Amino acid sequence: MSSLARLPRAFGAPRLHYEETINADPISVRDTILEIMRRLQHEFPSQSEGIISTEIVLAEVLNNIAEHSYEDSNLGDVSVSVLCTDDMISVETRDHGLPMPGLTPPATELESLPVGVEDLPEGGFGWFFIRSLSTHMEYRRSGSQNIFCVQIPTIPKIVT
Amino acid sequence: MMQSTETPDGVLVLTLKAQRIDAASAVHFKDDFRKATTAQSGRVVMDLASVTFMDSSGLGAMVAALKSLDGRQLELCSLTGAVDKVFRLTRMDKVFLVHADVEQALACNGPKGADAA
Repeated sequence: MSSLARLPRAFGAPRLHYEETINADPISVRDTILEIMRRLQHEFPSQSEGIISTEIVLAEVLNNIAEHSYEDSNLGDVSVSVLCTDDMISVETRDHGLPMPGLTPPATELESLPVGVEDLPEGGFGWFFIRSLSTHMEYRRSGSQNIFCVQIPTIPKIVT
Repeated sequence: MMQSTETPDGVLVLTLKAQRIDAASAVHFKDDFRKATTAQSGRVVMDLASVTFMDSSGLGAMVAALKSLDGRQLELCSLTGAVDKVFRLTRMDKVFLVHADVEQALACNGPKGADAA
């Protein structure tokens, strides 16, 4: 066995590399996610948990850009790139909208849900999903550009 | 995006026809839910078997739908894949009454029957 064969598979050649620039609106976001899912399912037919997580993370990241970075204007480009190895699905987005407040992704903890139905939150789950389902995320502002990277394991994190 | 039928016992069954309750469809979902449940006072059972994906906007729409029932339960059936995942992650599966499928929902006597089981 060559030494290369003993390296972790994450060092192997990517199994899927998707890259596209789309308009940041809910319909384009949905169409793009469907296309990425079609390719992921083809590449990882047996890794459904990691793919489900990726679909949720992609939706939250891209809809956040449409809603907050471009303030629901439905005007503005976002470049999406997805790179997969056997172990990890990496997503990177680049957009030219508003920077994240405080130049950092919001810290979100899911507090215990209120007892009264009328007090239940109707939003604010997005960053909680991104943080819960990923093992690594990074945001930086470069000039007028937002760059966000997030990694989702193909085999899910152990939820404690 | 949902078909509504009423059983002889007066249970409103809403069968989702859409595959995705997401940022693109959440507003439409809330409107359709309100139209279907207005002037209706019995149990509301929602069949999500055809729904393959739900995001935070979709989950928010489900919470809004529950609130619009003014204290009545919104009973959900056939949560699969991403839908099941977003409910479990947020523990909303403990807030809504969740059944395996419509048959099981109709076999129990509603929220009280299910709590006792």
